[in-house]
Amino acid sequence: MIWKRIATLLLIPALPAMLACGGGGETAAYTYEDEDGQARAASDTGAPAQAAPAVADAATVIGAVRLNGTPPPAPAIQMAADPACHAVHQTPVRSEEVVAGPGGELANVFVYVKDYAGAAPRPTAPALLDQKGCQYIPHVSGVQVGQTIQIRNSDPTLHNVHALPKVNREFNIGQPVQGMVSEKVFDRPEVMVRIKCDVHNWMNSYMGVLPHPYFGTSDTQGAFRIANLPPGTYTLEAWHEKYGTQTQQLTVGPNEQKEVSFTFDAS
Amino acid sequence: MKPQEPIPHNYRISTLNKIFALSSLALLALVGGMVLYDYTRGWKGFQQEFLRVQGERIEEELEAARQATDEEELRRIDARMRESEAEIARERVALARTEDDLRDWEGTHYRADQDFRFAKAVLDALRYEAEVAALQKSSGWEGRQREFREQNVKVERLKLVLEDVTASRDAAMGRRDGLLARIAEVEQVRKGMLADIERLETQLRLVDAWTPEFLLLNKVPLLDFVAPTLKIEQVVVSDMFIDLNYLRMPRVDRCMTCHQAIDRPGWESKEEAERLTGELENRLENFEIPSGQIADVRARLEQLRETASANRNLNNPYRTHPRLDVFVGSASPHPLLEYGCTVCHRGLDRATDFARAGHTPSSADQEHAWREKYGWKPQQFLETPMFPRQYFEAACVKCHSGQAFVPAGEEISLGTQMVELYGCFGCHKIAAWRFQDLRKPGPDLRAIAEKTTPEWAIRWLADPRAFRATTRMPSFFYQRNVTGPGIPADERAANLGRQNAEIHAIVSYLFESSSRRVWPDGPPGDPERGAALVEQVGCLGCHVAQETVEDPESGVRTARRDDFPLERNYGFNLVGTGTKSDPAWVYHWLKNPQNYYAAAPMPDLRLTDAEAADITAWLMTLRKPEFTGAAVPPPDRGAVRELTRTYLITSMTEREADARLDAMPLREQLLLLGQRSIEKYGCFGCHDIEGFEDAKPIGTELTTEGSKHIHLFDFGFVHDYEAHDGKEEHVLHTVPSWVYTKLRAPRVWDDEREKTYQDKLKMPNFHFTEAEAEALTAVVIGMTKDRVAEARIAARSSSDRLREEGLKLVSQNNCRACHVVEGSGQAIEATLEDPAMLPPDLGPEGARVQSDWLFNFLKDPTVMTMRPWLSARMPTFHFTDSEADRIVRYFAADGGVPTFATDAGIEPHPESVAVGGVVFDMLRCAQCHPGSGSDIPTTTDLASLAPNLQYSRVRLRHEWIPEWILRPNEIVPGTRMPTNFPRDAETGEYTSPLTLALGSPQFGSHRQRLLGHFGSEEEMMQVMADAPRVSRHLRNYIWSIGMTTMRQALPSTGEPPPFLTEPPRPQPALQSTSIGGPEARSAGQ
Amino acid sequence: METIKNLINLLSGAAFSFLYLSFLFAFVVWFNLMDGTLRSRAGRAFLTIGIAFVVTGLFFFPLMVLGVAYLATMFILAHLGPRLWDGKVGLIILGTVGVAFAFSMLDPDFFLIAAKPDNVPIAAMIFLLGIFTWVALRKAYLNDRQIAAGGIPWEKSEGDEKLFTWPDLVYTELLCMILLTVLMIVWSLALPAPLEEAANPTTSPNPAKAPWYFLGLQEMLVYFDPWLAGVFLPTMIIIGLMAIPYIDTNPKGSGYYSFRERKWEIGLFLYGFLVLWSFLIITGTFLRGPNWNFFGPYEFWDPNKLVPLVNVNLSELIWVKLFGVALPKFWLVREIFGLAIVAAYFSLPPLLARGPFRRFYLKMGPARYYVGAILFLMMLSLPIKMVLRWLFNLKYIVAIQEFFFNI
Repeated sequence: MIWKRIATLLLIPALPAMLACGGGGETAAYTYEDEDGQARAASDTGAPAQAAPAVADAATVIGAVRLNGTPPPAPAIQMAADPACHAVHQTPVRSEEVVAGPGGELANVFVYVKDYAGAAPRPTAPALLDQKGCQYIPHVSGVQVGQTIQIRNSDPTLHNVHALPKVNREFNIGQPVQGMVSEKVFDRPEVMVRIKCDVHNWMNSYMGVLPHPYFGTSDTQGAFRIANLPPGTYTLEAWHEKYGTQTQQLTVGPNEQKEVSFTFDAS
Repeated sequence: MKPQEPIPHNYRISTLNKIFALSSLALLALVGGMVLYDYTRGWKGFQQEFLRVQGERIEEELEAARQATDEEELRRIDARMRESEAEIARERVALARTEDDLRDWEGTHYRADQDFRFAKAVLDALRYEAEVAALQKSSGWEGRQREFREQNVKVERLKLVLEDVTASRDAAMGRRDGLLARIAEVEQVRKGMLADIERLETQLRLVDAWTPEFLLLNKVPLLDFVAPTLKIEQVVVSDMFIDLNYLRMPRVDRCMTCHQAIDRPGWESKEEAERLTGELENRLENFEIPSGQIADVRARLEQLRETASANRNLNNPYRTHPRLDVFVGSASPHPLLEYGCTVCHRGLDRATDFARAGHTPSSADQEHAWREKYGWKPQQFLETPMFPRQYFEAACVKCHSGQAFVPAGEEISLGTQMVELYGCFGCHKIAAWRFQDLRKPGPDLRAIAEKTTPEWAIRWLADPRAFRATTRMPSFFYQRNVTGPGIPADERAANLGRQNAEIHAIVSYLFESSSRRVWPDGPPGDPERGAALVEQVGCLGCHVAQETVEDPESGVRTARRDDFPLERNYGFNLVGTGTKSDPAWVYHWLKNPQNYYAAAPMPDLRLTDAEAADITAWLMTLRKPEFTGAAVPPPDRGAVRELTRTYLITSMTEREADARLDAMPLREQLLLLGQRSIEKYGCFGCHDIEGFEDAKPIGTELTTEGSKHIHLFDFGFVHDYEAHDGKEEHVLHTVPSWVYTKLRAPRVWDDEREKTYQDKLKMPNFHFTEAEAEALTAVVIGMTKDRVAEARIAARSSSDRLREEGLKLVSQNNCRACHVVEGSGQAIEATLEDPAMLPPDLGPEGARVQSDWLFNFLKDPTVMTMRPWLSARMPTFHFTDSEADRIVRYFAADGGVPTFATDAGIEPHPESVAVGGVVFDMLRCAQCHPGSGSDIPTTTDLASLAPNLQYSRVRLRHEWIPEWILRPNEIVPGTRMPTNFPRDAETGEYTSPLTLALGSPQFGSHRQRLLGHFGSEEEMMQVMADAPRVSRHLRNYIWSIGMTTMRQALPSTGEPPPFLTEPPRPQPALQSTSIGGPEARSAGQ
Repeated sequence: METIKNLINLLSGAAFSFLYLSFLFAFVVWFNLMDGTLRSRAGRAFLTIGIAFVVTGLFFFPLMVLGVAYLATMFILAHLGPRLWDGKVGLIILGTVGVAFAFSMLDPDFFLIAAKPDNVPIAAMIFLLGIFTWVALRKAYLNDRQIAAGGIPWEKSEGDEKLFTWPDLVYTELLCMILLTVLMIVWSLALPAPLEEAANPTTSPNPAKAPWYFLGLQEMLVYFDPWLAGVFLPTMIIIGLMAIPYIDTNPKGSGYYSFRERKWEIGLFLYGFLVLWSFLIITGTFLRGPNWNFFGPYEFWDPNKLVPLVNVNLSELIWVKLFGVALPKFWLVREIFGLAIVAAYFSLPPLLARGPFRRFYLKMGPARYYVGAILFLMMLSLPIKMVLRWLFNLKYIVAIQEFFFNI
């Protein structure tokens, strides 16, 4: 019966949604999912590798990112401004600029193959950017050129999604309705695109737009994974919101499982 | 009768015959020669070539088309045709069968129907009989009744039969109709394919018409007069006449005789095509193209992509005009038939020969190529040679000189702005509206002694760039024609002394004539806070505070002016202020610049004493000790005397002069020399100087420089030279090249010249980069005496004049340092990390705000603070009423709205207000717009605030608000106002999230509240889906909560002059310096 | 090579070439046609002139060169004698001149001027002029010789013959017509008339030149007060031409070429036409450049060239330079010498009528004599003025600015 409800709700905006699809640039697709309706269309962009289809004798890169020195204390965010946000969290929320584990495992580092020239498999599932508890989830992520991004507002408050790209087309949409999902597409490669919310100025998300699916984001363990990478020699670049970029060369053979590691210096 | 003896002939007739034969043959041959000569004239060659290329191209396209068609399409078409024909056949068979079938069914149906009806009739009859029988109780009535029931059953059965039959008949009908439709459809497809082929054929015929064939009569030389394919094409423009001092001739532009494709899209060069593709795509994406034209634009895009990808790259003269949207195109503001070509490009309108058309090479290479290829020669008597390609925009000046910014003329606008900023008009009279009544570009020097020291001034004059690399102050001294490497050693030595003497003299005069008000010290300040303030309050919009820049290729290097936008060079580079200026003076200057001198370009930032003190403290930390290192050596007395003498002897004999000089102490000599040197170098052109209030500018008048004949320019002996930045430059014998050279190396014409010191060129060196020099050159050569009909002059209507006057003020007061006006500005952006902190974009200001409010605000920015979170301050410019009025009128005109329209009185309908209110809550507007009276508590976080909507009613225009709500991102790209009604990508229609919202449970209450205002749910949903209507409801709500009056501007209260009104008589400036001083006195005796 | 060119440039200073041309011309005519030898009266006269040149040349180099070249020509001519009028010799001369011209064309500066489409026909006409003059004189020479031998002129000898209109006349006319047309077409194709810019009265070209046939007059403006050069002299030219039939009453030589029978008439005419008129046109066309400066044939027409303007009036020469006193205020006193000279100049005819020209006086009678003589003096005044200007920078002989009266 819940499905029926969803169906009816989907029906209302169906028309603009259909018209919008394949527009490439500004799309005005609304869908609606209630609170428990998890991203059934969207894949978890935290590990986008699964978007890349399995290739014969493809290699896998797994790596770790760590931070030398003591990370700067993450300032607490004053969410009191918007109770809707405040209510969600029991503990005070801290800035996500530098998220590092006790061992200096550095999260939110975007690692990607910089110079992949081969044919890129088309993205399959759309990527999801969620706004939950007045934070972007994920904070750092990657998408493929032309891949649909579903931006969802899971908060009972107004968010506006303001992308500030350099080469792609800027957009800024308001999402007053909880559960509202807008669909967007970036059609030019760009690392990184900053996405912010003008209503809650602490809300930041960074999205790397690449012509291929060979990228990953380090998790709280500082680990990332790039799967199904065709054998070859590549330049791997790691990007961090505060500590900038690092690159290293890397050669992977067929079916090889390569380990790489990046180290950033605090201060 | 004897026969008359034959008279002998004087010539041998046979010889004569031979001569006759030969000469006639020669004549015949020559006639042929004439025809050939005419047939091979330059332009005909170009036309034939063009026709050939065009023919080729069309053929290729057709070939490609045919290939595509033939190979896949046609085969597929054929296949489809064949199968469709087969299908048709099959269908027809089926059809036939179904039709028979149908006919059977029809028959069956008829029969069944009849049976049924008859049976029914019988049944009725039976019923009657049965009833009668039953009534009369006649014998055997049971039998009748039985009969009746049987009949009844039979009828029922027949009815069922009938229904079945009917059904199957209808089915048969359906089948038949389906088959018919299918057949029709297939037929349609076939027709379409036939049409394609037909089109190709016609195009082919076209091609044949294009290819020049000598077999065709109209292609044969001499006979082609019948219907010539090659002919002179021309446009006659009479109101853009050629002005020959005494008569005005209409232009007869024949350029398109060779430039055949100039107005035909699709002949662009590759790079042009790529550029245009990009532009069009953007315009499409930004919904700038009215839905009516979208199809055409798409087609054009297709064409452009083809051109860009074609293997042929076209060159002149076969190209399309690169800016069809602005020029030549029939839809453009300058259609070919109205404006022709030479109106802008100049050149010889009637000429059809490359060498005579007035083509002007843009570079030595091009000149060489032209000489080789077309036998090009300079036309010394042509008064209007074309502008070289890098100066095309110079042509705009002719009609647009009445505009502060030429639309679509970025370069010329920039150049004009530079002329204003660098103050060319200070020394060169320019009788053009744009450069009339402008403030002097340099600071007032009548109180120089109050802010700095003679030592500094001397060093500064000697080499301003050593102190501030980005300064606009040009270098007057130690230039190439005085102390350059080309000057013989002994002369150079002498000149060094003379220059030094002149510098000392000028400084002495300035400080002698300077006022000496005493400025009390300000309170102590904190440099840290000062530094922060400078970044916050917006100083860096007009000032640069750095000496070096990070250069991607060459790493860190000294800054150049062109590293920063023009607007940021408006104020001086703050570097070295600590070394230059007296802190007390700086403090009071910051407090209120107008106190120092009335025409100060710096506005009043309403700094508190503490703030001013802090900033002063910081500025004082910006020191350049190395600059004030060694002591200033005294001037060479001999040089001073010698130079002073050169001036004296113009009004007296040499003996008198000597006598006078002997009686004159060095200091007096310096003062005299100083005054004369200021005259010589024209310092007063840019600075206010005591005693030069009504001095005439010293430079050549530039009002019609572009029309000056090349013979009047002195090219000296210069061909190649090295500019100040070490770049090798080459001089062409053209006016533009001369002007460019003059700007790049003002004194280069003195090279290898024998001149006395006073006769040498004296234009200072502004150290212009190539780009800067080119922009300025465009302006200078653009100022011609060419005239056009009144009707053609841009912005001449009275309303336009007001607009332009306002715009001029905008440029004069450097508004674009912080705001975007006319599509550019916000130089301050580079200095702010958070774009949210940017001052507002004034692009839509006219349409946005009400005139009264703007007037008030300009006069006194404190009347209202819309964006309390902005750290940059709108300064108080102390505008006069008329100035403020002009600016207001500009914005009104710019927004295309009436100047005097007060919307504040409009009263919205309460129903609409109520609806608006609900929507307002649903969209949670109050989350960012504070003080809007709603249930959502506003965030305390300033950085995410939006303007207080209660101000809207007095500030915004009534019809503006809905517009803004609908498409904020299109009006001001990058605005923080979210797009609540995004457009649909295809149709461009606005979509509304409200319908969705109302469907969600969390808006149940709103739903209820709304329903109260609508007749039905449908109506509500309908309205809520209609974004424009919703936005109007919102507007009405906002209107209803707005305040209706605002504080009027207070008369500007600048800081009162703090100095003692009666300053003590200063001791002579020169005491303090090493100039003059004791030995100066002794010099007298 | 260069040195020669420079020398020519130097020598082509109008005065020198003028002197040279006129003397050479006179020499050829007199010396040769009169069958004179170096020992003849004329011969000795010209010899002395040549020597005089060389002597003065000791002090003024160009004159030396001029004199040497001049004497050389003289000896060549003396050696040639009557053979000068031999067809072959004529061709040889023509050839050498042509070669010299062709050779000069190799010089870029010369080529620039000579090959200018407007100038080409003028250059051609110079050749024609030379050829026809030579041919005419040759005929004259032949006739004179016949007459001297008691024969009759060639023209007379065939005088009473009859000719057919057709074909002899008309046919040849037709041929000329066709050939001329051919010539014209070739010319117009070779040197097409360009479509030029619209003329603007406010910007005139430099140098601004009159049509070629008036350049003689324009050149005269250099030496005379505009009133004289522009108004008076042209009028006198016309009057003079009108007066010719009345002055020249010599019945001889009509209908046939002859020099001896009318040496003065022919001499005067050729002098006026060739030396005064044609030579000035040539100067004005080929030797006058920007700012009407004088340029040698191999010189580049540099618009920036400056020549010192140091011309002085006679009065200044005498009063200031000679007597070392300031100019008298009163114009009559100031210009007294100039006026005297002019007066003396025009009082020559009566004197000459008593002296060497007595026979002319008797033959022509007073009226014709005086008119002719005055006209002759006027013709002569141009060369005199030119020489004075070029050699002594003499501006005006009489300069009365008070009345705009300058001579």
